[in-house]
Amino acid sequence: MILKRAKINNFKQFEGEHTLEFNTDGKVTVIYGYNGYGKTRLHSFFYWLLYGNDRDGEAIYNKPSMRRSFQGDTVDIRGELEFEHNGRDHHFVRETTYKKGSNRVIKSNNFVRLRRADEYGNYQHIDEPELYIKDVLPEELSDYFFFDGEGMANELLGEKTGRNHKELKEAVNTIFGLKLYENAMSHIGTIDRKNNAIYELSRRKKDTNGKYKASTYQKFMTDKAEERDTIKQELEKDKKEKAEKQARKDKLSEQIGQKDLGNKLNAERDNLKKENDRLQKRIDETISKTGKLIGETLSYYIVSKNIKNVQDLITRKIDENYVSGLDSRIINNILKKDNCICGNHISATERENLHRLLNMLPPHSYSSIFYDYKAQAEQRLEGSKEAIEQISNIIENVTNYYDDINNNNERIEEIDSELSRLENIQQLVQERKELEKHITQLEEKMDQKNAKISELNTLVKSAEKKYREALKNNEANREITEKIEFLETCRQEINKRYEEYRNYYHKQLESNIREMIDKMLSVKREIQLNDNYTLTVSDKFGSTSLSAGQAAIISFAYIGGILNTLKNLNVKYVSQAYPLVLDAPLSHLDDDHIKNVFQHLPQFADQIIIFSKEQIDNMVEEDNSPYKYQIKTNAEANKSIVEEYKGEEYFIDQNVRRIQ
Amino acid sequence: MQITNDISFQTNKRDVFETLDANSVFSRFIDLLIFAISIGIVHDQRQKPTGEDKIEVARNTLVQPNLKRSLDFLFQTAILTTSDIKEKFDEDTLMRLAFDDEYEEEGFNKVNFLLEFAPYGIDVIDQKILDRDPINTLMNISEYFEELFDDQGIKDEVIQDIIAPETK
Repeated sequence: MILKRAKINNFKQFEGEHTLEFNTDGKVTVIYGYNGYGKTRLHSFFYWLLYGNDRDGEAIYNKPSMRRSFQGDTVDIRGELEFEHNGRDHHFVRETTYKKGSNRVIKSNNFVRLRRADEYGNYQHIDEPELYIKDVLPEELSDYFFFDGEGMANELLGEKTGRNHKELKEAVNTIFGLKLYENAMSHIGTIDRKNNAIYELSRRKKDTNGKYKASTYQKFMTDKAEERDTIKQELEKDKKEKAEKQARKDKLSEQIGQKDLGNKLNAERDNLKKENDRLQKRIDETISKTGKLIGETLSYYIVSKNIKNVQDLITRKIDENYVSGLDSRIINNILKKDNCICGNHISATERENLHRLLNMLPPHSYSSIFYDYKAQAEQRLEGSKEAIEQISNIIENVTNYYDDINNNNERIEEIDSELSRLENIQQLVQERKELEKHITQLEEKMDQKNAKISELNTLVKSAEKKYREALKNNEANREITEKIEFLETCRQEINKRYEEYRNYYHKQLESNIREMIDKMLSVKREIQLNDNYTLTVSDKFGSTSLSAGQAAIISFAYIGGILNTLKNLNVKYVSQAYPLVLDAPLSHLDDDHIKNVFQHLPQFADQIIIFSKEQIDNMVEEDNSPYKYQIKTNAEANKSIVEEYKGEEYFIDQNVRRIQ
Repeated sequence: MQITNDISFQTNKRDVFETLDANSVFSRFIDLLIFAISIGIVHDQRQKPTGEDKIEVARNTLVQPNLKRSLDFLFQTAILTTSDIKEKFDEDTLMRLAFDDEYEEEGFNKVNFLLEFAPYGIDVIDQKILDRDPINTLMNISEYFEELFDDQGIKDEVIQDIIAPETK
C-alpha cells in the first residue's frame, strides 16, 4: 500500500476540504505543525479513515461547531484515500454523518466505498471494503505503520503505558505471521483446557464404569487447570508489579548512593574554596608588586625627560667651572701657605673662590655629580622597560587567576545545586525501605502461587491419567481417542515450527534493531530483545537510563528493525510496499540524530509521511526531497487548515501562522 | 636630602590612597606618593598640599635605601627642572641644594618642596587610574604610561641619550 492522495473533509478541527498529495518517488512527505496545531489529530485521520474508529477515542466532528449548531443539524465527515496496492490503483471513501439530538450527538450514517482499477484502468466496486482494507493493512498492525514514536518508545522500553507487553508481543507475532500458529494451537487446544477442539472431542467420549465416571475426572481436571491458569495470570501480574517495584527501588538506590557523591561533592567544594583563597592571596601578592615597581623604578621613567634636562645642566656647569691644570693638591697648598704661586698674598675673596673651586673638584666636582646622577638614572631606567613588561605580566597573571577563581565559583554553584537536590535523601531511604518490604511480601505471595501451581499441575496430570484410564477399553471411544492423539501430534508439530520461526525472527529482529541503533545513535548501547519483544538497552556500565532523544531513536530503530526484518522474509506484508506515517518525537533529537534517522529510515520504508514541528526538510537527503505541508491554526476558533508549505516565515513569525 | 621626620601629606583625597591600598595595587602609601610626585614633576605642576586628611609615612620607611634614593633623585630632578624656583635661587644654589645633602637655605624645606608636586599627581591618579577593581586599575596604569610617554615625547632615544652621552 502506497498512499497517493488524501482528502480530509470536516475531520475534527479541519473544517472544509483539505488535500494532501504524498510523495511516492522521493518517499518523504513532511507535514509541519507546532504543538497544539493538530498534528496528532491529522495523524489520527488515517486510522479513522481506514478502520472507522478514532484511535484516541475522541469525537471526529468539530465539537465547538457542533455546540453552536441547532438540534437536528447534521455534519458530514468525509475522508478519501487514493492508494496503490499490488500494482493497482484504489480509491477508498469513508463518510460518517452526525446529527445533533436533544442532548447528544448521534452517528446517523456511516458510508464506506472502495473501488479498484482493473488492468484497463477501469474502476470496479469491491464488496466488503472494510474487510479488504483490513486484509491489506491489518488493524492490529496499524500502530506500527501509523507510528506514535514517543508512545512506542515507552512501551518498548518497559514503561507503564496504556498498552501492555502482551499486546506488543501479539502485534509483533502478527507482523511475522506467527499469530497464525498461535491461533492454530489455541484452536486445537489441550485435553486439560476447555473450549478447544480436543476438549470438544473428549466430551463426545462415553463414560465407563469405575470408581468415578470419566466425566468426573474430566471436570476435576479442567477445573483445576482453569484454577492453575488463573493463578498463572495472577503470577504474571505479580511479576510485573515486582519488576516495577524493583525498578523503582534500583532508581532510589542509585539516588541514595549519591549520598557518597554528596560527601565527594562537599570535599570538592572545600578544595575549590581553599584553591580560591590561595589564588586570591596570589593575586594580592602579585598586584602589590605594582606599587613598588612604580615607586622604586618607574618614577624615574616618568621623569626621564627632566633627567635629560638635568644632565644637560650639569654638563654645562662642568664646562663653565672647569680650570685646566688645577687639582685639589695645588689649591690646598695655596690655601695652606696663604700665598699665590705668583708670590702675592691671597685676599679673603680669593680664598673664598678657591674654596668654592675646591668643592667643584673630585670627589665633589660637577663631573662626579654628573656620574653619580647618571649612574643612578641609568640603572633605574634600564630596569624601567622590564618594569613595564612586568606590569603587563601582572595583568595577564592576575586575569588568569581571576579566570580560575570564576571557573571554580561556577563549579561551586553547580555543586551547591547538586547538594540541595541530594538533601531529600532521607525520604528516599524511607521509600526504599517500604518498597523492599512490599517486594518481600510479593515474593512470598509468588512463592505460594508457584507452589499452588505446582500442586495443581500434579492434580491435573493425575486427573488426566485417571481420566484417560477411565476411557480405556471402550471401543466406542477408540476413534475419538485416535483423533485426539492426531490433534495432539499436529499441535506438537505446529508448536515445533512456531518455536523455530519465532526464534529465527527474534534473532533477526534483534540483530536488525542493533544494526539500526548502531547507525542512528551516536553513543554505543547494548541491546537485548526480550521474549515479550520489549527491549533492554544499556550502556557499557550496565546503566539502562536513556535520554528522551535516545528513547526516540530507539523507537525509530525498532520500527526500522521490524521493517528491515520483514524485507528479508518471504511472508505477507513483505513483498508489498507499506507507508510509514510518523507522528515523530523529533523535538528530543539534535540535528545530527535527525539526519541519521532520515538517512537510514528511507532505506527500508517505502514511503514516509512525517508530522514534525522541527524544520527537517534540509536534513533529508536530496534523493528523498520531501513534499511539504503545513498546518495553520486558529486556536480560539478551534480551526486548522493544512496547506502546501511554501517556505513562508512559518518558523519565524508566529502571526503568520494564525488564521485571522 | 636629609630626612629627619615622618612625612605628613595633607590631602582631601584620602579615598584615593585607601582604595588603592584596598585593591592591593599600592599597599605602601609612599609608592603612591612617589608616583604622584613624578607625575607632578613631569608636568611641572606644583602646589601646596592642602586638605583635612593627613597621609603619614614613617621616617623608618623613608630611609629604606631604594626609597631614599628615589626621593633624592626626584628631588634633584625636580629642583633643577621646575620653572618657578629659578626666580628664588640662583643656579649654583640650586645645584648645592640638589646635590649637597647638608646644605640648607633658610625657609626652604626639601621634603615639603617635593611633596608640592604630589597634589597634581593625586588628581591625575584619581581621574585616570583609580578603580575599585585591581585589574581595571592595572589596565589604567598601563594606558596612562602609554599616554604619558606619547604626550611627553619620551621615546627610547631619550632614554638612550640619558644613558650614553659622551661626557668630559
